[in-house]
Amino acid sequence: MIEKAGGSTNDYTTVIGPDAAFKGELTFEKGVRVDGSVEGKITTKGHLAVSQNGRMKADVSAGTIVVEGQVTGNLTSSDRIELRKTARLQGDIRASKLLVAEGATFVGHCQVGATASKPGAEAPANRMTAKEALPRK
Amino acid sequence: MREVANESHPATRMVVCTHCDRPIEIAATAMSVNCRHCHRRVIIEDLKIKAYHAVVRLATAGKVEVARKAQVVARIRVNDLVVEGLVKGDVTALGSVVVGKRGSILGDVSCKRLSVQPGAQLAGFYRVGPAFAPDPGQDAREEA
Repeated sequence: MIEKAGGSTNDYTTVIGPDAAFKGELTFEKGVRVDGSVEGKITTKGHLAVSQNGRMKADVSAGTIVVEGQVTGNLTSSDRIELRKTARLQGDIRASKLLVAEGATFVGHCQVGATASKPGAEAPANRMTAKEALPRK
Repeated sequence: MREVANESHPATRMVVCTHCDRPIEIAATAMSVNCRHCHRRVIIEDLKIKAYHAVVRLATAGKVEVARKAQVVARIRVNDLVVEGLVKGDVTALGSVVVGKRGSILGDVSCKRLSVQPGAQLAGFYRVGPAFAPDPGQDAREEA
């Protein structure tokens, strides 16, 4: 359960509930917490949290992103991205700061640094897609 | 360094060959050995790099530390990596990669655990998680 994602649980003015599935484009000002399923695109200046049961297939642009669930898509954060121990991320990351907890899985291009999240930042060379890099079962 | 408990030979430990990725049992104090599977030399000792160091491949079954003013240009294959300076090249770590606040890695990284301090710079393709590093004791346990 996400208790703190750059703030308390009250910071999330919008919550996609566990029995909700959303498809489309979301734009918010403050915070979003995803307990259900989202497919599409999310834009917010505030916090985005994907809880342990949350599933997301989306490109995200947010201030702070905390992932505990499964995410497929590119994440861009103006501040920081936090992958907690149950996080499964397949996609590219762009952020000023990155926190990865032990146990988290991440496959994708990564650009972290003070200039990485700025619009003009150059994307790393695309040698392999995240899907190609996943281990074979 | 990664150690696997061995009751019959307490003075030994298990490491993973940096060439063939298979587990080898070595003396606890060994600094390098020949792999019994691929017969190639495996460096075990921990390395600390304090200056510019450019090689094709930097491999050890131990830990590598890249000091603050150091630059490493190489493909790196280690157990654990700590970067306070600059690394240019692909990194494969069986354990953790720690990037300090002044550290930079420009290259692709595969590791079990990643720790990035604020201020660090990363650019490349990342594969982070337990699935991306072989367990050194697994084959040995299966053989037993």
